[in-house]
Parts: sequence; structure tokens; C-alpha cells
Amino acid sequence: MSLFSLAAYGFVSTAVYYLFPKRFRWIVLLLSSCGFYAGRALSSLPFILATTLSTWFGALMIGRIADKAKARLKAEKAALTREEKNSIKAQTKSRQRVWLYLVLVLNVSLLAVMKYADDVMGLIGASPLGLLLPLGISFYTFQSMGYLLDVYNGKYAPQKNPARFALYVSFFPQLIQGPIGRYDQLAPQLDQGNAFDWQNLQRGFLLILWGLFKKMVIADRALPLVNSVFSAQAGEYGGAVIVLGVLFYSLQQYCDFSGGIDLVTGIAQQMGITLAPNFKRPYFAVSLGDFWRRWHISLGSWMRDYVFYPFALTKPVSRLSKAAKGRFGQDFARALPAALGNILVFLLVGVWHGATSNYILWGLYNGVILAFSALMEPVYKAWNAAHSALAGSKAFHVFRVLRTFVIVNIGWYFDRCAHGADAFAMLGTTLTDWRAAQLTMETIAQLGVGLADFQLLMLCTALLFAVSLVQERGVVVRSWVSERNVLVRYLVLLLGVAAVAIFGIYGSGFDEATFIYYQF
Amino acid sequence: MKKRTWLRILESCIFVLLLAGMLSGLTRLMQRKASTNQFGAFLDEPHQYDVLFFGDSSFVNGLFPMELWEDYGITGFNLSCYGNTMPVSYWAMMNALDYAQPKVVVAAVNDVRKNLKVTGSSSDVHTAFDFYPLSRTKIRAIEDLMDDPEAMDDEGNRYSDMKWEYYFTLGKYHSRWSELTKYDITGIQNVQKGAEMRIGVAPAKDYNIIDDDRYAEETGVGYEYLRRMIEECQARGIGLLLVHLPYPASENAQMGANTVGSIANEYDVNYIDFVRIDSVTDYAVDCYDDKAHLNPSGALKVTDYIGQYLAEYYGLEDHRGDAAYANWDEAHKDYAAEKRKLICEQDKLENLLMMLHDDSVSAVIAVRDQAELYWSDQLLTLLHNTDRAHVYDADAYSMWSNSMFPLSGLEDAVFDDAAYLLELDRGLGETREYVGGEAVSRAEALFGENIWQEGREVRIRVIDRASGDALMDRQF
Repeated sequence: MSLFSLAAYGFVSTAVYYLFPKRFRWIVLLLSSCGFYAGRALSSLPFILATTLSTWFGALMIGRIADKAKARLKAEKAALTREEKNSIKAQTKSRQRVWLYLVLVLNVSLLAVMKYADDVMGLIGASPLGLLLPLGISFYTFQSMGYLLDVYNGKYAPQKNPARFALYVSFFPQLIQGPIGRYDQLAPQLDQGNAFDWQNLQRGFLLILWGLFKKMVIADRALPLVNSVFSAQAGEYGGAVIVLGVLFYSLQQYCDFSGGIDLVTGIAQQMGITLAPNFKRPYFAVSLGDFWRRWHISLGSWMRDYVFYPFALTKPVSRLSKAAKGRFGQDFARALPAALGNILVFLLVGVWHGATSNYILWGLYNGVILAFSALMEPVYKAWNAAHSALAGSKAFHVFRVLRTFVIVNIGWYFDRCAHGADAFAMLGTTLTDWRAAQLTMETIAQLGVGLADFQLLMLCTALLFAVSLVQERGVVVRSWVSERNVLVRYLVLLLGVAAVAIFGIYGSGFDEATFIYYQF
Repeated sequence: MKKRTWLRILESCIFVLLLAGMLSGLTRLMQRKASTNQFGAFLDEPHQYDVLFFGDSSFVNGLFPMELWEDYGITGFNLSCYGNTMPVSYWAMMNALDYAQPKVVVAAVNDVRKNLKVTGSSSDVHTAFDFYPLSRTKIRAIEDLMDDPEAMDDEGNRYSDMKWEYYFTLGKYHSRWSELTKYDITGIQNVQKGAEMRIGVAPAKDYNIIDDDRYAEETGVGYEYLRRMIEECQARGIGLLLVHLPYPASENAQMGANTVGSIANEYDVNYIDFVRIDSVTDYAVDCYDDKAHLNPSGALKVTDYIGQYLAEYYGLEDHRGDAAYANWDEAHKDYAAEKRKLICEQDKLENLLMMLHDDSVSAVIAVRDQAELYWSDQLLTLLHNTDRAHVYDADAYSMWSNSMFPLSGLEDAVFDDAAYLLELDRGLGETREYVGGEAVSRAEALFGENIWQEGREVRIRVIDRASGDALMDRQF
């Protein structure tokens, strides 16, 4: 899908949005979203409709069961004994659970079948079914299931209007690759009809430009080298070139995903809607846990709330924790549920990326390191306390950032390779067969990035780093720009447009890459 | 509305204007200059053109408008472009007619059988249209040409997907940022009025001429747009001449050309089929590739033929000497200078001999006795070609007439394996030949005692026709 067409669709939708009175603006958004979805994936429409309607109806039923129970408890408050009240609550929960499981199973099965059917067929040696993954199915399924679970947990009342709920599920900017919105934060903004605001318009535009810059100028320029390195025959390149490929993949993936998120966040902001944050300069993280709190934040928090905590608080895990307490001590017992939860969550995240060995290994790699970190936390704390001067120094901070960067990049070997065995082979080459002499501009050009493109890429990466560093120090760059005088603001915007228009990878003769997360 | 809101609106309008201005500037800077270099001059004084030429590569390399000016005082511009199909030629004409009011349109029909509106390199289609400012006709052209979802370019891109790049050319050319030169700002203006000389000599394959009553079925968009072109010219009162330029056409291609002939008859339009009149060009020396695209030698012959035809049948006014057309004399000076430069740049014997067919320079050609050249049919034909007369009346011409081999002295020199010297004095309109001892004596008089360096057997001096000054002296 053309990024320009998404941005253009956003601009047109924004204009139409503000042309209508506030009370009709949610309808404009719904129609825009339907048009967007139908225009790009008409055949996927039944799937999103099925998820929307089943979730809306399931949540409605869960809400009604709760309302009836509450009404009965209120009406018969004086007559009921505690046991009877508990019995009613238990019955209510049980009836709600039926709807919850029904809708969960339906939608998760739909996602699983569409996503993994061909992988499973491949594993059992059968011919693939050739199912096309419906556009945005992961993201809208996660978003819908989050809503359903929240309603089940009584966090908020269900939405009675199916059209308003459909807007929450299908809001077009975030449909392709997130962020995964929460109903209580997103729905009110979609429903209320936001007032026109120049600041939102300007800051949204700037964010769109920044997103396009990251995606089209940096990510898509680095892509040919990444593809060449990771599709090369085993042994063709030594460790030096492989490491360059992994570093480029780091850059490409981050700019692709975060650039796309900036783009959709900017489009939403122009309509006065604040989407959930999804990135917070992840390569400045000081630990792997910190990294995952900065990378794909909306998925991480979804997993935390709907998988990690529910799992860690299950009775078997609690019993295991208690059993460990006697044998390994209190610290270990406290950390054990978190450690197991992390392994489960990252295993699921790995499988969500794809049911292939590389993704499963990538998930386990992250989960095991995080589990180890959780279990070792008391040791780290003690070490930090004993070496507080060093632990608090800038140099140690930089060391931790670099250490995390290395750990994350080792994980990318698994994320990017097609098979786990390939990742191990490339890691092995990296460690045992460096071949530094191979790393020349000529080789880089052969890998698809010519000298001029390489120089431009380095320059843009330096700019990205500088902006990120400033942001990391607490400066909100867009606020800084919007507070400048009109000449500076215009100059920044015009330079942004010029940079994307000239240096962006687009048009015929270029394989304008779609977003990496589009496929998930 | 509040004053602040008005200010915001004003600010936004200024921003949009600045944005549009910046994008327009960037578009001009980044744009590949092939289109503006080749055709940009057309828009400078479009009302001056009496004849416009439309066609594909065969016409780009095969028709030199400045030669028409030099010989007949006819003002023309060649708007042909590589890869043009009939629909592209039709729309090129329609766009041109927004600016010019020619008396005659000359259209090449070599690609009439192509069944797609656009094909080949998308860059060529850009070259045909990029130089025109956006207009209603240009929009109609783009919308019409790009509406076929099956039409693909050489790289496998669908033309329908690339349509937007014809409106927003920055989308096509933005990646040129790393290859910009000063010429992207200054431009390099084509002094050949749209034509382009391609230098080379490649013998084309032979072919058989089929009967003129064998026709191809009139199917496909090529014939449709040919009819539209004819009807448009007739509706506007513009004379039309259809030409099928010379090349070794297959039987199917000749049947297609015969069909064009019948269409021309139907509309009472003049038609020259150079494939049937195969005596105008010599495929042994007049093409630069084996597909028989004409080199300058072949192009001069075809141009001269068309020039005489236009003068005879369309009564075009001779503008030479007309003060209102003094700019054409200036343009011709530039053209002649470029031709001289091109001739002097040639460092391959066959290319230089081919270019010396052009009578804009004089030359002396001295050949050593027992030269290898005498064993090369191609080089001997090229030598004869330097002095060949142009053919106009095809019916009175025989392939084997003496004018195909005008240099009798050369024949003698070859027979005797003797030295040979040829003086092409274009200023006086004389050709002088010397054979054997006379040739050596004349060569010594012209070049001094050391006529040929060791290992060399041909010496050529190119001389300015008017002043007699040597422009280049090279040995082979």
C-alpha cells in the first residue's frame, strides 16, 4: 500500500471530519474507516465484521448478565444471606464466562486459522490452503478481546451502539499495524467529535512527515542490504558483513515500524485523537525489560494486562511460588511468577509473529533472558548498592545501553532469519569467521546500497539519533518547533516535505516496501 | 471569525503557496532533462512551424528539420520520440496543436501495428510529454494512454500504476538527487529541432518486397489512432503526409503498411512508403543498427526526399531571407557547428566516411596503394556514398545506376590496387579524383611528404566548406 495514499487519505478524512458538525463526526470517522478497509481489502470485510459483531454482542450479553445480577442483589439485598449473594455472584460470573469463552474462542480461532493454517499444513506435509491474512486481523482482534476482557472484569460498561463499537474496532489509521488501543482511552475520543485545533493540525503534520522520513528515507533505503545479507548463501559473507546486516535490520525495522506509527498517530492527531504510544526510543533502553517497555508498547501492555498478570495470578503459579519459597527463598519465590510469565508472554509474542522456529526461538530468547533477569534482580540490586558510585555514573549508563543494544541485536538474528538453524549458522559465522576485509564500500554497493545512498543513510541516521537524544533528555521536539516563529516553523515543515519528496524511496523502479508489521 | 483565525487561514494559504512553489522548483530541478532538452525549444516560437513531424525512433533519427530549412526554407520541428506508438503520436500531435498552427503534419506509421497504447520504456513516454505544461489536452492524453491495465513498460511496471508520475514527475525523477549536474540547471538545448543524429554503420538485413495488394487486417489501436489523426488534421484543415520509413520490414509489417496505404486512399491523404521505394536509402551504409534506424547519411536522403515532396505537393513557402525568420538562420549556424563538431569527433573510419555524405563540409580522402580498404565492400560503398546524389523520383531510378557508384576513379584504383585521392569540394560543388602517381603527387601537395604514418592507409582531412580551413586531419 502506498504510504502517500494513506497520508493523503488521512488528510482528506481530516478535512471532511471538520466539515461536519461535532455530533456527526464519529459517523464521518466510521465511514472513512469502512471506505479505507473496503478499498484495500474488500475480501477481508466479513472477518472484521464477524469480530466486531461477535465481540459487541458478547460484551453486551456479559454486561446484561452483570446488570441483572446487580439489580437482583440490590432488590433483594436485605433478604439474601452472604452465601446466597456469593452464590449469585458465582452464577453470574459463570454465565458471563460462557459468553467470554465463546467469543474468545471464536475470534482467537479465526485469527489462529487464518494465520497458522498454512504453517500447520506445511508441518503435516499437506498442501497449503492459500488463505489470505485479513488486513489488520491481529490488531483488531487484540483490541476487541481487550475490550471484551475489560467488560468481563467490570472495568467499564459495554457499548450498546454497534456502529460506535465498529468505529472503535476499525478506526482506519491504526488498523494496519496498531497501536492497539484501549476502549476506555480511545472510544471517548472517537465518539465525542473533537474541536478543530491548529496546534493539532500542525503537530500532526510534523509527525506524519517524521514518520514518512523514517519509513521512506531510512527504512526503505536500508532494506536492500538487509534482504541481501539475510538471503545470501551460507558462508558467502563473513561476520563483519553479517553484523552490518543485523545493524541495518535494527535501523530498518525500527524506522519502518515506528515511522508507520508516527504516520498514523499524526493522522489521528490532526483529528484531535491521541493514540496510545507505541515507541519510546527503545535503543536508549538500559535493560532488555526496559527495551520491551519502550518497543511496541501497546502490545507489551496488552500482554501484561491480559496474559502476564492473569497467568501470574493463577492458582497453579501461586502454588508453585509457595513451594519454591521453602526451597529457594522468598526473593526467588516472588520473582518466579514474573519469570514464568515473561517466558509465556514472549513465547506467545514469538508465535504471534509466526509459527516458525526462528520466531519461537526469538520469543524464548527474550523470555528466558527476562526470566533470568527477574530471578537475578536481588543480586543486581545488591551489586548496585555496593557500587553505587559506578552504578550511578554516566559511563555505566552508556555501558548498559550498549549491552542492551547487543542483547537485542542478537535476538534480531532469530527475528530476521527464515529458520532458527539459519540464525544459529549466522551467529556462528559472526563469532568464528569475521572476514573484516570483506566490509568495503564495494561490497555494500553489491548488497544494494550505493555510496551516495550509504552516505545519505548515515547522515539521516545521525539526525535520527540526535533527535532521539534530545527527546530522551525530555525535550518535546514538536512542541519546540510549534513554539518557534512562523519562519522557523515553515522552514522545518518545508524541509521535511522536501527531504521526503527527494530522498524517499518511492515511485516506479523502486520496490516501495510495505510496513513490516502489515503482515502480522 | 476572530482576527486570530483569519491570520491562521492566511498563514496556511501562504504555507500552501510556498509548498507548491518548492515542489514545483524541485520538480524542475530533478526532472530528467531529455524531454525539455529535445523538445523544449518547440514552445519558444511554436507559431513559426509550417510542418510538424510525429513518429517513433525511426523518425527521430531519420528526419532533420534544419536540413529542410537549409535546402527548402521549410520551417519544421520533429516531435517524434523513441518508442512512440500511434496513440502516443496522436496525443503528441494534439498537445502540439494547442500551441502551433502548422500547414502540414507528417506522421510516420512504422509502429501502426502495435496493439497497445503505450509500451516499451516509460522514460520515452515521459520524454514525449514532460516538456508540455499541464493542460486539459495533456490530462486527456495521460488519462487515455494510461487506461489500459495490460500495458506494461520494459521493467514490468504497469503504465496504469505509473499514471500519477506523469502529473507529478518528481515521483519519477526524485532519485536523481545523486546524479545532478550543472546541466540540470542550465539545460542542453537540442539544436536539431527535435531530431537526433545517431552515429554508426550497421548493415541491415535484406528483405523482399511483397505485392501491394496484400493487406493486414485493420485491428488494434494503431489503426484507430491513425484514423483519428487523419480526421483531426482534416477537421482543422491541416495537410497530412503519411510516411513509412525505410527498414527491412517483415511481410506482416509490409501488409500493415499496405493497409495504411488503403486508409490513406480512403481519406485522400498522401502516403510515401519508403519500404517499397527501396532506392532512396542503401541499407549497406545508411543504418546505425540492424533494425535499420537511419544514421545521418540515410536520414539526409530521406529528409531530402520528404523536403522535395513537401515543396512539390504542399506549396510550402520558402522562408529563407525573410527577416521574420532570421532566427532560423541563427539556429542553422548552431546546427551546422554541431554537425561539424560531430563529424570531426569521429575516430572510426566507417563512421567518418558515413558522415562525409553530408555536404556541409569539404574533405580530402587519401588512400594508400594496396590498401586493405580495397577489400572491404562496406568501406568502398561508404566511399562511393560520400558523393552519391539523392534520389527523389523513385520510378526513374535504378539500384544499379551509375549514381550508386559515382566514383569511377575509385573503381580504377581498386582494380589496379593503386593509390587514390578524393577531393570533395562542397564549396564549388566539385568532386575530383586522382589515381596512382597523380594521387600520390596531389596528396604530397596537400599533406607534405609524409602522407601516411606507418601502419596507416587512409588519411582524411575535413575542411570548412566556406573558408577552406582544415577542421580535422586523421589517419586510419
